[in-house]
Amino acid sequence: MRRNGQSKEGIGAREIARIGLLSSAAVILFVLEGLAPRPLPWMKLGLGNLPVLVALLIYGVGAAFGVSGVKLLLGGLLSGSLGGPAFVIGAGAGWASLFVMAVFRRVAGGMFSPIGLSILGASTHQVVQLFIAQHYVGHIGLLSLLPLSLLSGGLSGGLIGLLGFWICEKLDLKNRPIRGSRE
Amino acid sequence: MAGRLVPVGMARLWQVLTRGDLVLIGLLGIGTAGSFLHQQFGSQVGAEVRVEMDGEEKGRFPLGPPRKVSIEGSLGISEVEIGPEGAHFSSAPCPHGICLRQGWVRRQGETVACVPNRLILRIVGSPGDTDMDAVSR
Repeated sequence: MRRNGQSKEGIGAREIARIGLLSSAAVILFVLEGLAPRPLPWMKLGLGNLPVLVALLIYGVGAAFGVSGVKLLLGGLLSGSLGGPAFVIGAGAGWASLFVMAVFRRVAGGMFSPIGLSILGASTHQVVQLFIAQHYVGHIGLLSLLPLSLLSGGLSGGLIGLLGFWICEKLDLKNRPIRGSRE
Repeated sequence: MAGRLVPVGMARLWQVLTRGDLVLIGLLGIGTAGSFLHQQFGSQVGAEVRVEMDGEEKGRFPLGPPRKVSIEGSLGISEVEIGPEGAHFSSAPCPHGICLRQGWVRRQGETVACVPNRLILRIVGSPGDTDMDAVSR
């Protein structure tokens, strides 16, 4: 019984336009957030991931990867980090977290709310980020960075999830997902 | 239809959160607290600070009498302040100064990494101790 936003039949001009809007929102948020100062490189809200989460919740995995890809490419071009370490770390961690969220959403649809899903994604992001960063700077004592990294990831993931949930509710879509993909 | 400032009130939030969410948040909390406690109390205060560039040792200094050493990285000179209470970067040529803000390290296995200047401070146990590397790899 897969009667939800992931079905292909719902993809028309309106959906494509909306996914395009989400993509541009993701790029803008990503670039704007990059301009803001932050205490440590792995501590940021990840506002650019909000449209990715919304795309995942409303339109499913394919749209989410699309929005994420546009965000990474255009965001990388605009911020000048395309192809650099920050880009590779961000892309690897971002897609790993998206993959985990998509798998959990499909396999265990009602298990997590959008908030839980987002926290799960953010935690995955933080762990993968450290692993890829380790590849660049040598073994930097992964464990010593983990507590702070997980804490900030959990908090920002929760906030992004809350915002994503709110947006889905406000948009008041017919197939709005409140608890995962199944209702 | 007064728009609420806070879209999801506390009561509403409890309806939204699933059991899976709470378990996840709990596990995350335990994991964070556990790794923090392990880091703070699970390891001993180190004896030396090792400065590395791209994984190779640039110098080793005992955590003893206060001193400052200058290490050349890929961008320029980073200054490391060392004392009995640990070590930290006291000046660095990197653009963001993230390594400066990470502050002091003193326990075995703790590190401060300056990615732009490609330098790492690592606290190690005793002279010739290579076990730490095996553990942290």
